[in-house]
Amino acid sequence: MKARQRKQNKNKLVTFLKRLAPFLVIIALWECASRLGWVPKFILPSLSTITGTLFRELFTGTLFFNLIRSLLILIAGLAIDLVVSLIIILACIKFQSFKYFYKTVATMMNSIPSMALLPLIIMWFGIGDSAIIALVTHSVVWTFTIYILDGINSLPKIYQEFADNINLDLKSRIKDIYIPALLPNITAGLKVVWGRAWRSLIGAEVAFGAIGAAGGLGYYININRYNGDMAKVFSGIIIIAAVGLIVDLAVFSNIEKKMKKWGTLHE
Amino acid sequence: MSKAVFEAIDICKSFDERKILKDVTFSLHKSEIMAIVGKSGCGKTTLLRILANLELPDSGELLFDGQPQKNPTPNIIFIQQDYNQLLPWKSVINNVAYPAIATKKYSKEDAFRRAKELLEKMDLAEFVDYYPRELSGGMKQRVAIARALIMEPKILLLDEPFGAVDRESREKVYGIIKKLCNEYGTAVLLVTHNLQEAKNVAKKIIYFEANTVKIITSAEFNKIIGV
Repeated sequence: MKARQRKQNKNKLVTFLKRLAPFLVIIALWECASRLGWVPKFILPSLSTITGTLFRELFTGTLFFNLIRSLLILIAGLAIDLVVSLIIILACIKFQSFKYFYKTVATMMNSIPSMALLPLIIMWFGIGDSAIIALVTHSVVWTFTIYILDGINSLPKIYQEFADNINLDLKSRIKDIYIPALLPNITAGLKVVWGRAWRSLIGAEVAFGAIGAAGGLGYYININRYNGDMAKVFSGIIIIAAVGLIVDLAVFSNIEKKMKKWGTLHE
Repeated sequence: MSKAVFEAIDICKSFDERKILKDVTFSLHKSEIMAIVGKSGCGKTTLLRILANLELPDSGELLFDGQPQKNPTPNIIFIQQDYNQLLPWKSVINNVAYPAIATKKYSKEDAFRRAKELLEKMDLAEFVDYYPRELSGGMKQRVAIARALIMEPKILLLDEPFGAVDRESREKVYGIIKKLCNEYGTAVLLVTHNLQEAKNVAKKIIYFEANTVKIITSAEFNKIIGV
């Protein structure tokens, strides 16, 4: 038994090292390229410089405030979008003809990249926060509602019949049957739209930063590019990626773990 | 004999011009167990679904306690053939207690106490904290039966609940169902492929044969199956 456990631990360690290896190689090459002058430091600062800048900027510089600003706009945008999505989904459930109409519109709109709408959004909303929220909404609502409507279509009839059989009230049906049954679709939808929203938001901040608006991680990256401070640019990029990783680990991984335990999501 | 608790009168159902059920009439009394037997596709499940009000008949009437019954009711619980009818996101005990809590039949505390008792009777006491995916098909069906019994239904509709369960476990659960039927006065309508099982469990049998439905006693059924 102990030998088997040791073998399993050894296998885990080997897998971990195999996954770590590419990162170690990249880090080593990066450090060499910068320190040995293969690439000018202006373009590629060393990792140690970037790390130092990142921590300094997070705790004493403007990076932290720009991060919070981006996150607040994202949260506000997502909250609005979830309410809008819920209204659309309820309307689709209630009115079948609206559902067909909406699905056609959503499929069409979903294929338009946020950045393609940027000129229109600037015309309609200016270059402030409301424009960014409008872009985030475009990234979220179409995709998310399609995911949920598809999920509702494939909801197992057997759960619905169980609810009918015991005369379950609407509130209990939604809370205890439909939401848990739709959780794989809700999670998959949120996972996709959260990434899209985050990318659109940063993209808009970069673009708006270039034409005068201030604030957010995108703006931070852009302004430091103007100033030629590539260590700060990389710090901003690392934070953008880190937020994605943290959200995935803290929110989605936990939900997915639960769904795997229930068997509603496969490995 | 006591007054019928449930009556099906002239139930007819067709699918795409194919007549599945033709003038099916029978009545069920308190604590009575009736079996439905017949070949695959003859309409056994359709009949149960109609009786549970999950499907509408083309014509005919259902009476529950002498009153027309047109909507699903927790007094008539349908246990489907599908092993995956439990809610996968709830543990075994939560699955069993849930209908009683959600419909406010019992307080939360009473529902869990009752669920535990039922699971003990079903030999599932050690699996209360498991999730449905961790159980075998037969165990899932026993949980589904416990989940139905917690509602103390007047009628229990069982659609081939133990297709892949070993004989010993099946007989044990039927024993439990019989006992609980007597305890609560629940009447049972059971669809089965197993003719021997139908004969052993039920006193009356709804026998589907060549588009006709006969209500026969188990003695008459013995003659048909040649025992």
